[in-house]
Amino acid sequence: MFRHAPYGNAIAREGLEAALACGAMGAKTSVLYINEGVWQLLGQQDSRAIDCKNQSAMASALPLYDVDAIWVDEDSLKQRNLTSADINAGKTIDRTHVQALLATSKSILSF
Amino acid sequence: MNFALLILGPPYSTQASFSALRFARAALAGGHGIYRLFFYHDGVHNASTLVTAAQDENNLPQQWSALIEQHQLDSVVCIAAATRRGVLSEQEAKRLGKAGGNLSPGHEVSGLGQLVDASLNTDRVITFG
Repeated sequence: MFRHAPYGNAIAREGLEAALACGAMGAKTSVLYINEGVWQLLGQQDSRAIDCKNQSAMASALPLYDVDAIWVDEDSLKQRNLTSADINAGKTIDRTHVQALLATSKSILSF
Repeated sequence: MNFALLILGPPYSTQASFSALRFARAALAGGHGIYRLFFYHDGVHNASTLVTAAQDENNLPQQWSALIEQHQLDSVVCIAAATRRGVLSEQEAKRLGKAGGNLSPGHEVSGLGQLVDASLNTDRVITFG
């Protein structure tokens, strides 16, 4: 579960690394972008000016690690005046589906 | 219930690691199990011996080490997150040509696989931070 914007704090990057590790270890993994976390999915990120790795490019590795279930909270997008056209990965779901996802997950790591 | 704790918050800057420590004590006092503590992100600073608290403040790294020793807890500090923040075991310090290690007693450095393992083998992972 990714709750933070991609830059300004290493939590987004390190959360993503944890998700990649889950995939690499063969754990069935779903990823949920929610709240400020939806900013991680904006295309056209260029982080060179702030000497950071490109979060978007790193996230594109998720499917290579068999993390294919990528979900985006629809309300979080709406609250930020974003739509599914603004994001470069994931499928939007409503709050009912978010709740179901959390309720049916064996364990939740929150970053 | 069998818990794993994911500690992301640094000592003193936020309430997160204080809360994690209190949660760990309460869980153990309530008869629950703690499968593993996993220190990640800024949470790795909770495992630094160089942290020095003011006299009238709790020394969080010391308190973590004491809890780990008292209950023989498994505690893992993420090696990648720790190394980039200057928390090193003696072995790592030697390998990297640094003056000395500063990993508090009771912790071991290992990889994110230990976090994945903990999330697969516990009832709940509780994130602090």
